[in-house]
Amino acid sequence: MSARTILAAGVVAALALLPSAATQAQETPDVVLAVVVAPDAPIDSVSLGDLRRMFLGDRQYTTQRTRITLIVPSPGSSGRATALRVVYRMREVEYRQYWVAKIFRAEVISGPRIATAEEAKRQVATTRGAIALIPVSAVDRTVKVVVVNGRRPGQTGYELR
Amino acid sequence: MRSLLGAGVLALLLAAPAAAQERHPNAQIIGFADFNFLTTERPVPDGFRSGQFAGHLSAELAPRLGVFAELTATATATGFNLEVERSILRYDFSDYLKLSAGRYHTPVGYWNTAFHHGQWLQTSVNRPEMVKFGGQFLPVHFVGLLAEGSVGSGGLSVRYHAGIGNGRGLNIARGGDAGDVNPQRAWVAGLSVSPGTPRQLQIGASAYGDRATLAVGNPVDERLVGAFFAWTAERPEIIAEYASVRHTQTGGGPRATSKAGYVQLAYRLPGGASAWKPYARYERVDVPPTDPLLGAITPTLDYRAVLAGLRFDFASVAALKAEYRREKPGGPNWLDTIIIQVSFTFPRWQEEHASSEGVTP
Repeated sequence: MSARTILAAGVVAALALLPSAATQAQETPDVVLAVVVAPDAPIDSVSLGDLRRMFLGDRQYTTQRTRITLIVPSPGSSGRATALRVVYRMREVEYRQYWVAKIFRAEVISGPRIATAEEAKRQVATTRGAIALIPVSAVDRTVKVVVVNGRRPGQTGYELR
Repeated sequence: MRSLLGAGVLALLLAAPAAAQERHPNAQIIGFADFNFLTTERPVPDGFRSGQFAGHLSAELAPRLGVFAELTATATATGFNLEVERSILRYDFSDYLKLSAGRYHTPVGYWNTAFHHGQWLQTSVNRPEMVKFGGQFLPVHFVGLLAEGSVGSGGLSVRYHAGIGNGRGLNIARGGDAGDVNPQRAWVAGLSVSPGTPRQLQIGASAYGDRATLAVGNPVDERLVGAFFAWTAERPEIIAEYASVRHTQTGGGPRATSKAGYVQLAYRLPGGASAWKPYARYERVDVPPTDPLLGAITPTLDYRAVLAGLRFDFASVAALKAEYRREKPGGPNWLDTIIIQVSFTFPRWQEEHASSEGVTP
């Protein structure tokens, strides 16, 4: 197996010289996120666990049997890092692999949608079953802020930060 | 059985008017491919190998109605073998109940549904022996009807599935694609739990029953039970699976129980080395020669293996894996193999923009 050992060592050495996916990751600043829905949506509060089940695609329908449409901050935007760290508990690479696997396993048809805060508010206000993560600074009267684990953004112990 | 089928069709028809009210043109196409270099003491050709090309389509045809399809092209000695791996039409009544019909990866155990043709998704180069490509230990494919759903609270999710369909074909590595070979349908059922914390932990159990028809001799009743533990958060990754299958030849013939399992450990390195993921796996398949279904087919089903490898994700959509395997495929000798694989997915998955068509106004 000496030739094979040399081959294996060569591969390992070549691997070390390649640029890695890890070094390609883009860092975005953390901001406080609000969970927003349409003002007339029948949801006022949610536990962080239930929020994660929704955003992980494990819960796909509302109690009214409407498909939940997930909207997350775009890659590179403010809020993306908070969403990945607090809600998904994944790195960007893991997040993409997670959704590819989820679609491959036929558990979901597609993953979350991306939007700027302004676009997310418009979509939430007009789309049944839509729920979005947007920076707290972008919240206005066109959307309703959902209480997470009994706390609103700005309160002590609010977790989406 | 006919009553069950009739009830399912009726339920889908009743749901159809609601589906006509909204438009959901929403489709995702994902491909997987791999390329390998192999040097081995096993009696298989060395050298470079085209792996498998898999194309996967999922589309929402109407609200709550989705289609999933998967086609593969696999390199063989005489060309490429094309196969419809999955073709599933599913109607979601809610999270609690989703009904579907089609050709599935049989939902027994973990690996068979979690990775299957997605080489890039799995940490190692190949599947474990018990679910290997063209393998016979597990009934890898299932053609029929499936009910599934989930309930949950907080981070906890409990999922179930139950199905009925055609069992193994005369070639027991294949499902009954063009009809069952005997009047006794196969059934499958399973339950799994994800506690939410720690993240990406799943524990489950499943069972499968069928009557397999042999080319010669009486049919064989098959009863399989299995369990798995899968913690795929990468730091660490632990996947363990075990299955026990009892085969009883009808008409007072022999009875035997065969067993198979594996444990795979991996760890995504921290910090600047996070593209690297060393892994190791131990696996075994025990098939007694008296097994009336598996024992007569091939002695290589009695199998042991240890392997160690290194996965390097040099891009977010591609991985290079180098793996050393030491296997005892049936005989008394341990045989060594080194295999290097490039696997990738395409196109790079990207979330749809929320302003694009597909969101219901």
